[in-house]
Amino acid sequence: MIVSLLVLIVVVGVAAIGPTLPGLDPYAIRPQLRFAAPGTGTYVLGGDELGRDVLARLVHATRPSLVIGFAPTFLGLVIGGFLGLLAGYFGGVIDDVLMRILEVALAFPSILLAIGIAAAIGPSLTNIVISLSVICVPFFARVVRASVISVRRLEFVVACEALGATHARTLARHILPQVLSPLIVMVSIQAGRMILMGAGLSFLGLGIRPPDPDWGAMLSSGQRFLSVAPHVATIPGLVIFVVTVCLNVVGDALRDVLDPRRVTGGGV
Amino acid sequence: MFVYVVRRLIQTIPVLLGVSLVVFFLLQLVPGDIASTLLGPEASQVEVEALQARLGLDQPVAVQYWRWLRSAVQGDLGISLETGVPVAALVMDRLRNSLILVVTAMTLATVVGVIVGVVSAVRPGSLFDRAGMLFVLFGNSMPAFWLGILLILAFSLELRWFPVSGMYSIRGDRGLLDLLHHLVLPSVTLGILSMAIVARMTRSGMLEVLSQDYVRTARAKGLRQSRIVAGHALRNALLPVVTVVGLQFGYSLGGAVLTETVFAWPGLGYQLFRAIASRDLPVVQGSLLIIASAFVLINVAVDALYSVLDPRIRLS
Repeated sequence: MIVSLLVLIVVVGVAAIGPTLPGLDPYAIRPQLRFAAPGTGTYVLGGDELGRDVLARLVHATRPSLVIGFAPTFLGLVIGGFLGLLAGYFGGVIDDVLMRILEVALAFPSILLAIGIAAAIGPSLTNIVISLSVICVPFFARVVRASVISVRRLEFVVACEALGATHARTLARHILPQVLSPLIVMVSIQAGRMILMGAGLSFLGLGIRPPDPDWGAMLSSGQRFLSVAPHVATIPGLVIFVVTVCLNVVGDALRDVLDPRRVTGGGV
Repeated sequence: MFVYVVRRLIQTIPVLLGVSLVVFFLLQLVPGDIASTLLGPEASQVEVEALQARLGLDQPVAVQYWRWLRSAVQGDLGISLETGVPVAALVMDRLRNSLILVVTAMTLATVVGVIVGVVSAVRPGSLFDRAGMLFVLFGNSMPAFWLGILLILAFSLELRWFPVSGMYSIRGDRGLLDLLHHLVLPSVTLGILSMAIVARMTRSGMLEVLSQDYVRTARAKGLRQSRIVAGHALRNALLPVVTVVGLQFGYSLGGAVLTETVFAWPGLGYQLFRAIASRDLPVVQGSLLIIASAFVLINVAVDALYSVLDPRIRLS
């Protein structure tokens, strides 16, 4: 748990200052260092298929990868959470309409929906964030709606309404705090999923455009040269794996602290 | 039972309609005009308009959707822009290959997942349990395509036990053994996530059931541990696992896009990947529609199975 937290702090640190460090140029092509093994010269993690520095590319790809992990999660949390809050609280027509839309969105295996959207609007960082947000919104909306409904008829809410509080006040001051803690837990785990999915989209060529570095894209271009230079594909995969493991460990630990009842979420 | 299934099937109709709407309008977002893309930059305005008329692209979007939906319901998904073959036949053929992969992966995931979950729950805190939970964590965090690449590196390129890609050997007899040989690495890759999820669900379900009174009664009667676990506890603990396996089955159809791409498995996912790359819209539409519809129907099947296993669901 502590180790995971430290790793995540280091990763965030790398994302923040890594690209400004001197001597790490992700675009410099040195043909003599094509497929250079890790440890050759200044290339600590070796060179890729064009002779670019794998370490420099990993470092420069950290920031977009974290954006891909967290931006859709937060967008999904805010938009989906808001919709779920309204649907769960007011019920009726709002709830019906929202649930029908949710049913359709959840009728797609989520990666497929993201692939479809990304394929339609074209590859770019903004577009990955958009397509992954579209999957996060129904996920969070469903979770929030369910927890709002579970507290909706409890005495403290009824009492609050009886005292003449406005809907906005009841929602913001009394219901929101009740549903917030399971959500915080999900953010960490969902961000891990989004990093995996974002890497998956890049792997399929639907992510960040070359020559800009990206973990998933590095992996997919490295696959062709597995027998010549396995490090080109395996190192970026290891980075994705470690970051996701840490996010999951932190998420599980948060869950144990914040939510003793242990909600087991479905897959997304 | 029958009434329940019919009711669930009727409920899927609006969902499937919604799915078709999303699939159709998603691809309306694609920038650029299909007709001019097909004909290339040399084409004259007249030629472009003629092709647009032939493909029905000059009609209002709502009319296009209606036509597309009407043919889709009748089993006509259009013609592949790239190869000229009917999309429906192509997609069905690829769906079969995908199902072979997904069913194998899910069988593997269920068997291994349940065994790991049961053994972990019977001896909580043991070395096996800890190793099992570490496996669950790793399985949950593993980028499937990376695992695929590692497996290829170890078992295909180094040890040369399994083929790198494809479904049959070029000079093979296309027999069952050849297929199984090609199936091993992709099904492990695709199944690992579900395996982890099934193991975790089985473990928590078993832990809950094993602490209940009727298990204590069975123990007090002097039943053997194996009998208690297999005959009494597992049956009840497996209920939620069935749901998870069903859901995972559907998700795996989507997740197969990555696995199939890594292993060049000729399934629906790999087809989708290539159709996206070559902007073959009818194939993209058809593949998305079929995968999503299969996903919806699998969920109905899971609900039906669940109602057989647990009569309380049907009755409430």
